[in-house]
Amino acid sequence: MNKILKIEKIEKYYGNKSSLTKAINNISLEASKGEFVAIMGSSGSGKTTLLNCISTIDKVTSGHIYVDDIDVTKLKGNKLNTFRREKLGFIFQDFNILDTLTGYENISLALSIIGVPFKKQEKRINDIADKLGIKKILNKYPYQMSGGEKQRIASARAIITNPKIVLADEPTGALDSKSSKALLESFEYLNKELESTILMVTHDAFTASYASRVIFIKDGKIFSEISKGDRNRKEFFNDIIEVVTLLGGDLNDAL
Amino acid sequence: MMLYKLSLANIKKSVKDYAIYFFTLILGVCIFYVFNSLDSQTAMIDVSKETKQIIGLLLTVIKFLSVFVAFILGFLIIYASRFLIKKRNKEFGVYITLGMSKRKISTLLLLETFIIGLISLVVGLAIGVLVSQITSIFVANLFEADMTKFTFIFSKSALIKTIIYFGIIYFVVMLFNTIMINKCKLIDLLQTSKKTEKIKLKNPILSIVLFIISVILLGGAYYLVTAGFYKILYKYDVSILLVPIIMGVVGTVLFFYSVAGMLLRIISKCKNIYYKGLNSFIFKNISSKINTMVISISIICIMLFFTICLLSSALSIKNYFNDSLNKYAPADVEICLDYSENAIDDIEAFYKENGIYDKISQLVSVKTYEDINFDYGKSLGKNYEKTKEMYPFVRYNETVEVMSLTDYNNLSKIMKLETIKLQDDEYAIVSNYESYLYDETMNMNSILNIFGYDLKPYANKTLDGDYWLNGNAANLGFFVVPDKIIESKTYKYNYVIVNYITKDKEEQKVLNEKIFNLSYPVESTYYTSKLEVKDNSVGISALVTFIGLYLGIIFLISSAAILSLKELSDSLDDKDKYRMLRNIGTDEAMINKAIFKQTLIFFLLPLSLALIHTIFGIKFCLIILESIGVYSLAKAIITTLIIIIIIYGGYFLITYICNKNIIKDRI
Repeated sequence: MNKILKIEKIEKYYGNKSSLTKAINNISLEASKGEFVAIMGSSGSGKTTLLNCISTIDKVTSGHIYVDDIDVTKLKGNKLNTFRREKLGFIFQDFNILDTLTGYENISLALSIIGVPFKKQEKRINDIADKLGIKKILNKYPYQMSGGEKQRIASARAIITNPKIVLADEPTGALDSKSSKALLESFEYLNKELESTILMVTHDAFTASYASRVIFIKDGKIFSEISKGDRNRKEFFNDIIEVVTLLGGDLNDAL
Repeated sequence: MMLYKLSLANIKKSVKDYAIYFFTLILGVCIFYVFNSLDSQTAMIDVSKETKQIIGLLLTVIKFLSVFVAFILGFLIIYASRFLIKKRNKEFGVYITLGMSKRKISTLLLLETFIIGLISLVVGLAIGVLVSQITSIFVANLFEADMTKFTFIFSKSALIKTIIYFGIIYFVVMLFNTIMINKCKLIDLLQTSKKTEKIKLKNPILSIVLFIISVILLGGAYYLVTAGFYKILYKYDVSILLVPIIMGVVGTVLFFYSVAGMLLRIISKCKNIYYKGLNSFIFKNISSKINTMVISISIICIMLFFTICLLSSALSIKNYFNDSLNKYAPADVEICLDYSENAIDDIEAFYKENGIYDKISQLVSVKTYEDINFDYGKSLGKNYEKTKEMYPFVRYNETVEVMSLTDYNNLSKIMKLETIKLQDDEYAIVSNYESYLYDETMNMNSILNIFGYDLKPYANKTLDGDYWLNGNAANLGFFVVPDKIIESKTYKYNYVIVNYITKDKEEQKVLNEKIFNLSYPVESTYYTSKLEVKDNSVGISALVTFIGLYLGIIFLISSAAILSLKELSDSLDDKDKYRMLRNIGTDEAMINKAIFKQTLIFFLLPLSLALIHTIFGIKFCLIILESIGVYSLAKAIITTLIIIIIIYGGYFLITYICNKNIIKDRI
């Protein structure tokens, strides 16, 4: 019922018969409303491909992805775009905010492309800016902001449309540790207070420890999965590190 | 060899991105060839001696203009290649990191420029040769000559000239490229696309102040060239024209300097427009674009303005000459015989004697008289003081010709003028050039003394016309008085106006010659014929039309090409922005619409100001053109607009399509 995201046996192949790369090899997972899920894996593990498939930027080879009970693998053309801008919110590693627009305008763009009249925009933007503590930077241009501020503008833009699920691709990838912490606290707030469903891809254990559940991917398959449960973040972080050690390989540099 | 392959591959790869560059080069070569091949285009058409002379003059003018045009095209091509190099900075950066020396890169660019130059030259010349076949028909039409048979036209001299000029241009381009490559640093080459764009924000209050200043300057310039123009004109000082020109240029630059900030401020206040769809993005993008190219956009605007004025003036003169010939030269031939002891008394008998009277269908002989005391100044009557104040340098002491009423009414038959009746104490004035001065004289009810008689105006308007065959309005004025006033006076000039029975051009030419030779023994004889007037006016109109078209089209291409190149090079940088928009779920249709809007506004902005300039510029052109009798530019303006829509619109469309292709993401 409350499953916002349901992934059923998806596969994603690249290349041709002679040299086939299985970027995603039979993955199934689910996320409930209000969950904060992190997907961890080393580079080349298929985590970004997975996110791209969910966000409909990429297409799966087989299997189904349901977002809010809509099978996104069946969507085409403009319906795809409509789906993407109405049901999903995106946060990218490189912020993806427009240099020519102020913070406010960047956020409003997400609303105006779905046709929200400006009167309603104003209230919603001020609301979210209050909650994320970005009121002061709303009228600044990206070149006047720090990386963390830019990413918080991007977060505000991602959730302003009340998406069913927020997809974050390495959101702390380009941030220093202080900004990372501030951003992740904002995520926690979004998740707890606003009940946003967040799916975050990262290879950083510290970032992942803010999630309520962490899924580990290796070579296109789910390797393991741990939930935070009642533990505090510190304990959860140690658990994550344990799995990472087990995973071996590249992810070790995440430590 | 490796370099050669690489350069070929580079060109092939970027043919799409180079579309505008190629298009401009080919168009430039083509136009250059077509205009320079005029000699061979006119060689085949059958024209009179007078027209041949004009063509000779035209060829000389085009020869000099071509040097000027070559400079414009040279600058344009250098500008374009600079854009293309900037676009490929990263590629060069990669070459350098792979160990390629800057010299090798320069050689690579040299090769590329050479190949592109060669292709564009060959294609441009081929198209030019084809186009010149079509334009030769236009040329024949312009000189009113008959194209008896179709001949393939090819001008070797134009071909060689085009190759030499463009060879030099390409050489300079290579030189510039080499300098550019040698000057740049690796870090800049690699990082050009990564930098966060700083938004050039202008102080809104400053913007408003500058905008107001620009509007005042432009308004002042507009006033000076139209309503205030007579004040300038009367001072007979052309250098005073510099004032509105400088005001206009400064006003234009300030306008573009401030308009982006102004408009953005206004539009961002209209929140329901600004925060709708991608509007905020579009407006911000355009304003930052305009802010970075204030000078070039101003130059483009001024060039467009020139183009429109040049083309419409040139075309109007062509239209005008065709229309006006019948009006101002209604008879076949006219001779002016000065009074002398051995003057021919009875011209009809004289022609009968010499056996040409039977060729003549109509003959009118009128005489004019001069009263030494009745000069131009006096003839203006009560309007003299005011006129002198306005035109201080006119020779007011020159005597004015006077004609008897009977003669005038005779003249009116052959010159198709209005016949009149005069009371014994009335005068009339015939004029078609600056006739408003005499209108004023008559309006003021000036009593004039001619040959000792005080006469009053018969009406309050001058009669339109002339006693001389002309290509345009050129009669400053002569007086018509009752017959008795000039009775028993000695005439000064005897004008004989003749219509032939034959309408054949060749026969008329022979007759003209004969009449002229017959009259020659009489001292200081003037002679003119409809054919001569026609040849002259056709020649002049063709000359002006050609020069106007040549420069106009080159200006138009240059400005459109600069806009296109700027827009395209920007859209390469904007690619990322559009990718972001796609990522947050913007429709392809919405993006295309945004690209369209942005390109359109970018192209329309300089054109709109140019059009506003034009409204006043054309008025100014009309003031100048009125002196030769052109009173309407409407037809010519429509033709001009069609030319602009085709060329400018063509550039816009290509830019939009290329833009879309660049921005189309390949995920």
